[in-house]
Amino acid sequence: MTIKHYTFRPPTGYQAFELATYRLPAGTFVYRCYGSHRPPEQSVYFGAAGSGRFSDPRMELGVMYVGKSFAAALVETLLHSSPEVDAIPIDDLKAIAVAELSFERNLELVKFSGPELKRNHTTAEIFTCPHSESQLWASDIIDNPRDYAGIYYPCRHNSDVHALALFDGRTGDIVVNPLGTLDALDETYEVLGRHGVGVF
Amino acid sequence: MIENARETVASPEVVEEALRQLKASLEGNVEAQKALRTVEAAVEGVVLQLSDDRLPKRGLADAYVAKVTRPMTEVVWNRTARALLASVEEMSDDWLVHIASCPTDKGALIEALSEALLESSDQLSARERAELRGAQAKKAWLEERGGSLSPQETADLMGVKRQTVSDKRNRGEILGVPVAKGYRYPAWQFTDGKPLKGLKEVLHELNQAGHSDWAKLRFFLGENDFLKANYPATPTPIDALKANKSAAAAEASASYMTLVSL
Repeated sequence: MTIKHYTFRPPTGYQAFELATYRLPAGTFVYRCYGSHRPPEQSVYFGAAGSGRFSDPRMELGVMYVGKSFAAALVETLLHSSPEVDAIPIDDLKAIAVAELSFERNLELVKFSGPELKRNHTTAEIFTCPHSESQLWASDIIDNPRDYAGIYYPCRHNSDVHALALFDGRTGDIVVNPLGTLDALDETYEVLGRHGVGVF
Repeated sequence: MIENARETVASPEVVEEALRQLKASLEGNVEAQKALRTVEAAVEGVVLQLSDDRLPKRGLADAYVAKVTRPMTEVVWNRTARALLASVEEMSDDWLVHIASCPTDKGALIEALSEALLESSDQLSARERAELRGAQAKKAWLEERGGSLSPQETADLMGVKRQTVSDKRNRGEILGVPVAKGYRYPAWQFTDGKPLKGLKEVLHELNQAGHSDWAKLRFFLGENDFLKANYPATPTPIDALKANKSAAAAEASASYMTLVSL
């Protein structure tokens, strides 16, 4: 077992750095999973509990996590806690709904992916370190005067697909298009198939 | 030729006569006679199957449906037969002969199913393939950590009656998962003929969260993020229970299959 003796934190003055970004054009669909017992308008939720990887550690600004693609939303929701998932109850798929979200303006997102990781003075450790450390980076980005709209990063168990951590108040108006519950969508089973996951 | 072959398979007497004539015509040709003996052996298997008096020749479906006593049996019969028939109709004559030659009905069914499902899995929908993977996963879960027991085996192990086993399952004291013939009981949950200490409490937590019996089994077998972070020596709930850490296993159940904040 590797014992870590340091805190993985951003460089001094990071909140003032100009960072490399990913531009999400206005009108682009992103995907958000939410409890199917909620109405679709409640799919948009910026949580301030500070529990996510890029949440605000001061628990002041809300952060909403979405998938850049349908597959990303599914991977982060269903396979996030363990890459060893071999099958998922159909009841769980019924309990989760998905909505397409789009924004009425372009979003500039700090890009923690590919060569931009280095350009943004970090490493892939940002995805594996404790949340208490990755949130120090998020905190500095939130405080940046350029008002970045969030962070663009690869999913934990499939780096081919990306997720977005969006900051409350930085996205403008959001259009919500509900797609239904996961069990009723063919694409759900296609994504699960790509990960070798069954249903029961 | 194929039409003739079909007629031949349908009538053992015609097969025998054709073989007799063929043998006579091949007299003196050693290689051809050797090949014929191979064919003869294969055909004999088919003839044995087709001449078996236990097998209804016609109206097989009607014969079985007439015996149906529960409505759901007929539904299951109709649905599975429809799927199987669609696949059988597409099989080559050689493959039909191969399946017909199987020594037992169950063997023939397995061969037909493997063709219908596994070898033709590209024709299944994504959902059907996911369901097939799910069924295979469930089978594997039952075999993990010492396998599973029938109700009678469980009763014998616990030194109680079968009904008591069923009552304990219904009360959430032990875990049983539903299978075609009733329930199977994972063997890992018992030690010295008794349920693991704390099992009942963890099952209660899982019940409260509304998990199905199969989802509960999946929980006990899998490595759990909470346990890995806090009790790395016992990463699965089974390990935790066996190490007398039932409170940790119960706490782990709280985060099982809950949605992360996406």
